[in-house]
Amino acid sequence: MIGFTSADLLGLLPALLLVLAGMAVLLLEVFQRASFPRTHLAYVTALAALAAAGVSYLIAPAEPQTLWGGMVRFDALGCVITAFTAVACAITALGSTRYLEELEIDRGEYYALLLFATAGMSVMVSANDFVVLFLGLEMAAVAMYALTAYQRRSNLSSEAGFKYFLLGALGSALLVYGVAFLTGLTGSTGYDEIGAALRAPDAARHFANPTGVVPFLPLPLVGMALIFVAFLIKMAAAPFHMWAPDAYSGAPTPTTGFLSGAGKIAGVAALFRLFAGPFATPDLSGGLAGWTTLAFFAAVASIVVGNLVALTQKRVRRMLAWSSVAHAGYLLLALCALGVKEAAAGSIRAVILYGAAYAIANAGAFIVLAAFGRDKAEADTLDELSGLGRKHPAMGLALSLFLISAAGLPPAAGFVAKLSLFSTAFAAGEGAATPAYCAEMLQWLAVGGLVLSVAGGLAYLRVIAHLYGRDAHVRVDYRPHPATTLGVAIAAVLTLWMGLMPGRVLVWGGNVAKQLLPAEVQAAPAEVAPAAPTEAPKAIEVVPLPTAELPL
Amino acid sequence: MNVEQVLFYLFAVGAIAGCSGVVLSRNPINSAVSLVAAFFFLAGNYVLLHANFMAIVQILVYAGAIMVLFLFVLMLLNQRDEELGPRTFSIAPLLGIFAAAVVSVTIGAGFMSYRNATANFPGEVPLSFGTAEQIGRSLMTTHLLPFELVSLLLLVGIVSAVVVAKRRL
Repeated sequence: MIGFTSADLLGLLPALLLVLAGMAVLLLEVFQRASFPRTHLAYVTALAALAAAGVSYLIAPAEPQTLWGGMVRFDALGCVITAFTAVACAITALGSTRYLEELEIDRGEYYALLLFATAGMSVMVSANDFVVLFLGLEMAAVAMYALTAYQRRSNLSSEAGFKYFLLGALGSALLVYGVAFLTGLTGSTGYDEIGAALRAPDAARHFANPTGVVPFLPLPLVGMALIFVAFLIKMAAAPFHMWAPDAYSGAPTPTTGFLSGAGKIAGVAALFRLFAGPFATPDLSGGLAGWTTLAFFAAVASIVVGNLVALTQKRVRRMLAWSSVAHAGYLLLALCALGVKEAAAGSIRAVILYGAAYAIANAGAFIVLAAFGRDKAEADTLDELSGLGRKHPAMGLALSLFLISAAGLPPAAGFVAKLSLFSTAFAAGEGAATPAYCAEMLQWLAVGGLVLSVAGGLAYLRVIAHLYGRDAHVRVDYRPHPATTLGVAIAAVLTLWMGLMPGRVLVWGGNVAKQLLPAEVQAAPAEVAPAAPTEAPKAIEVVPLPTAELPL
Repeated sequence: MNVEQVLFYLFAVGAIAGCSGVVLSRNPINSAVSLVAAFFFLAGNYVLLHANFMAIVQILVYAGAIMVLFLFVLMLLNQRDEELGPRTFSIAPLLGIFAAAVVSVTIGAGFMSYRNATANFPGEVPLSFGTAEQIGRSLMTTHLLPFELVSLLLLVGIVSAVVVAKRRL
């Protein structure tokens, strides 16, 4: 009995590459003198991550395959998300060199942990079995706890790491508890088997309330809800976001961009695989046992809390942390739209574009922030950033671009992403959903989300206004490094590319949708035209829809 | 009630009592010892489920090795009662108990709906279930990937622990 074939290995090649590179970095670190800077390790890490991204682009299969005896699903979703998280990892690694030297924490383990975290995300997104999902999630999470607490001499960083660890452990426990329910009911941990058992004709017994009197949650829903809450904790979505602002402002600055961006899109991609697969009803109308309701309320809470609190923040990193809660909400909004048959494909396209835009721009924004600092710390308050845009035009322009993208304004990627997201959510409102009120509520949520994203946008624009405003009262050093410049350049080019020519990413999103959704949904002609047509759209075709951000 | 049921309730109540002891006791050493007790009762329930190997590993590894290490560390730190701070009243535990009650009732109601179910649950297992041989075979064949991933996870855990705990790298 052979455990695996070469096809099995090929499907996990990007993750394998990342893991091997991580081990190589660990070994290289052993033979380093302590005083020697680790710049070359950053380049090795970036090279490996970019190679993994390239490989996952090249090996992306035309038809979804199931590998490792059903444990791994090798399809476009895994490949696309792996590619974008790996690029975010490369950007982060390139932006970390001088920052780590400055804080005297310049050690190779940092880069190894970055690579391991990316590999974990890749495994998690490709998982087709709860055991593999859990292990991938934990691999990414454990590495990220250590990265958060990496500044050992800083109490703030240790506190951040500890909070993140406690809440993360709670999330993992809830995930396992939820899986225990589903496995107990169906006798399997595989997505396919669980989905088949929950959709089987005799599965009604799981959902029937025998007494009719006692308030009753069907056990499959209990399991699904626990798993969903676990992901909400990991993604820092409201109302489980309380750890995020502390963790994000205590972690080393370059890492924060990676944690909040790449971590979030890997989480939401795993959720999409779950909710389009085992947790979906056969025709995808509303989802099994009404999970859309859960996603809906989490999305509302995240969008409201994230955007409004972000407006009140004085420190840039805390502001970005709070608005990352809002971004989690937008990603969940796409998840709600997945529950409506007519909008399912559009929601997948939107989430791929939105996630890619967010992960790249976020990683870029944080490495620019890490390049400015004083007294062995980073420039963080708005006052400290004042006037830096004029003093360092290239960096200021790049940071502005990333913030504009996060705010959802053209010409950056965030604009097209938000546009396709909100139009999908609005289109979903026309579709049929169970429970029925969800569809109508989705339209209201899309409108409300737009208004609130204007509020969130103001928080970003305030930072840009300071960048080009009066000079700072305090002296802020600029710590340039060729690696940082390279990282910022990669992020800026990608952000502009996705903003001006989103066609390619939307095509990838279309492939993901085609491979992820059941055939019945594909066959149904979409009555409501989603924002982005299935064929590669020209950039021009996407833009002329009524622009949401006009008030700005 | 047959013997198996009696044993189940015995172990279940014991495990719940042990877990309550972990969160309720003020002294960390008492918490750790309660956790050991909870592990033993859980192991008993594993035996009732025919997961004999799991039961033994649970006692050897968790109760035997890991918890002993925990206790060592706790005793080395040797926190005295006064260091734990004054006893304060806070609303948080009450809210926690309320939430726990709501969740238990909801989940309990879910379970009760199966009480009269006649349909077969996927509970029929082969005779070799839970033996070391069957677990080893499964780890090397169907669960090979998770098995390898666990070893990677351990590597990440070790690196992370060193990074966080060591004063100078």
